[in-house]
Amino acid sequence: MTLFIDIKGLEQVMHEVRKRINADKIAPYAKDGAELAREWVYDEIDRPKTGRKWAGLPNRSSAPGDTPAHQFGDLRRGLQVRKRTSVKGGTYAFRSTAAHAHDLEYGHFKAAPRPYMRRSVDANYKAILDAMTGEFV
Amino acid sequence: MTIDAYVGTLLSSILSIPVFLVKAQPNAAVPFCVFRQISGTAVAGTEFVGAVRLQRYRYQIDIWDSSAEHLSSLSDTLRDALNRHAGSGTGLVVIDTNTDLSFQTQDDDLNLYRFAIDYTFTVEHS
Repeated sequence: MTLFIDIKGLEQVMHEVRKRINADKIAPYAKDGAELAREWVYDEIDRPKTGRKWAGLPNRSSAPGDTPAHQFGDLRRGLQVRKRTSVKGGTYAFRSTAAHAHDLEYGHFKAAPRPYMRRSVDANYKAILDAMTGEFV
Repeated sequence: MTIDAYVGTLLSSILSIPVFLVKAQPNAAVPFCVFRQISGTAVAGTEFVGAVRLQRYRYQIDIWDSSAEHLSSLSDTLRDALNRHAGSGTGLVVIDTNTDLSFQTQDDDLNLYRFAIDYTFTVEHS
């Protein structure tokens, strides 16, 4: 079963919204949001951890479920905020490019996840939304 | 009842396989399920809801199995039961669930298959 809902005048409203929202105006806020998420991860990586202290690693590791610990800096260096050129408009991506980024975020059979990307976005969701709506509402 | 307890009980009833919180027991036999809370944030103020005690919890749910076919069947069962789930436990009401990510991987060394999915539970605490 398909239910169609037709709202009279919606097309004109959407046309007006598209006219008013300028991608160049949105982009700085999208970038701020992505950088906010990255800063949160930086702070979390730098926070002392409570896991095991492995020989050969400079710092104590994180406990399962905690955010990753700072060790050699690969994870930190791999955190990038980049404008997405494949998407029209003011879209920025916050990504993690370290070789072990995925294994840390999602874990594997022998190691529990140390989530940091999803946790960062969830923790900063309201701040990102506030920045965007503050400008356009 | 904690949300962890609620989710654990729910997953056990849906999947009928051993379910572990955070980490599987050593030498646990497949298939088994491991779930862990990724984040928990207040909803009020971020969306058009009036209640102030709403929380949104993101869970990562992993199912491990030695058979890709059986794993696929388990993941379908999970999705069917958990999409738009609503229910209640002592002191909490699950208003809705959403999923926003899933993937399947294979560990050739261990001959194991893994299905991972994120579910977000929107919960009202009393």
